[in-house]
Amino acid sequence: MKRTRVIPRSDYKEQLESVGVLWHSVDDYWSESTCYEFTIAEVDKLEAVTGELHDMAIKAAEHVVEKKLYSKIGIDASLVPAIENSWNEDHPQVYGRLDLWYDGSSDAKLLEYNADTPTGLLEAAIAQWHWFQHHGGDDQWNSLHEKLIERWKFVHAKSPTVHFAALGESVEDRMTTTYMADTAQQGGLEVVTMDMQNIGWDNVEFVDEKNAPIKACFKLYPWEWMAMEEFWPHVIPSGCLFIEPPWKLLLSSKGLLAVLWELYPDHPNLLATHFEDGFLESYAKKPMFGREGSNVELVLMGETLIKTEGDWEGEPVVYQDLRSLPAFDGQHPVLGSWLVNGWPAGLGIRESGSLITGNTSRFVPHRIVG
Amino acid sequence: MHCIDQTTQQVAIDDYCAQPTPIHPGYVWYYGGSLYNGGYVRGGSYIANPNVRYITPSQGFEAAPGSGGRVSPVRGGFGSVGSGHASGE
Repeated sequence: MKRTRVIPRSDYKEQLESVGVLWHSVDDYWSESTCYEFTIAEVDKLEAVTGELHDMAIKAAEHVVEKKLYSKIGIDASLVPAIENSWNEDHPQVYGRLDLWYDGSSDAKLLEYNADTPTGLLEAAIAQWHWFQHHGGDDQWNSLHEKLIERWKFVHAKSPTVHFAALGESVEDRMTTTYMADTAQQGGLEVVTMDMQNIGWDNVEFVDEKNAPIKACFKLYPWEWMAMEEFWPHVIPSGCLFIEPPWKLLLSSKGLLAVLWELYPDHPNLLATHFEDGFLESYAKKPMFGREGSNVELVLMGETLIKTEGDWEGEPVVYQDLRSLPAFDGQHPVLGSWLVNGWPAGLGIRESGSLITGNTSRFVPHRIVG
Repeated sequence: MHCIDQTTQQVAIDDYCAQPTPIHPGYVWYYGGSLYNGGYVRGGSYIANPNVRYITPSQGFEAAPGSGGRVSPVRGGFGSVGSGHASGE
């Protein structure tokens, strides 16, 4: 793994806009003056690790359900019926993303599992593929687009029509959802895109802006937020098949990292993680349902290095062994290893000058060389 | 979950059940303060947990969609949390 300087495409902004990445210049989000290069051996290994970590996460989730450990991983009792309903009825998942620590030589380590509303999909699946077509290389770890289409074909058997809902005021959310709808359409489904706030309830089922029933709904909106809202009690009675399903909360809680460590202590791809303070001298303290690097505190030998602000102050936390991100030319990359239906599907890299990856960390393309 | 009067088959809307509530076929049932008269419970049984707010197939009940009960949709029940940006964990 190495970080290499490359010449940006002269029209890269237009290229990005043509595929829907309209937020490319917000905080210099898209960066193609450099790229990361991997060997095929490194990618093979990362792919295997991703699959294994997902399987372990599913077993850990099963453990939480069997032992009723919901509150331990920060899940409120009000969410449990929806989680168990979707788990027991095996509601289909579509995608997720593991965030991995990796420096090219040591074992990759799981930082967290973004299982409900992972970001950077359009950039990873399409935008960096176009970059690769221009710059070349032996290959790119990227079968996201094809795997998403195949997965939607499976969903078609459950519901031939799927609504795609997002917060319309967010360009990133809207375009990402539009892309996801496009893959579903290519998979043969009828799709309807809409604003999350325009979902209606007619006392029987959820309906769209034309009052047509919503039988299945991809929502780019976190379950823990939906559970705080007026329509939450209708989720189960509606019979609507939500994607991602409520059971993905089991994976997206950072509390699962501590469960994983209990079930697989000293696993080479896990970092020691605990529910309580006192086990680790150096740790990253993370809210179980924090987002985009908010309210994270990095502590080295008892001293706070960095502490970010956010909306999750006072929320349940986990303490994860501090593993400083590797530095490449002073930049710290986090590998976003994508999964579709639990299968490894590609890579997206975010890098930052900070040790905490947040919403403004840059997306940097990658390729396989050698 | 609201109580159902077994004699009149009326629902005591403002009175939450303190005891397990029998649910019988054909009864209109309520949850969370909202009328759900599109669903009728089939199979005589009861909810053992007075705190249960839903009846789901996995709990041994079957709710069949009815033909009536729809009203003009209410909107805005999702999407009010966050600062306009929801993707990104």
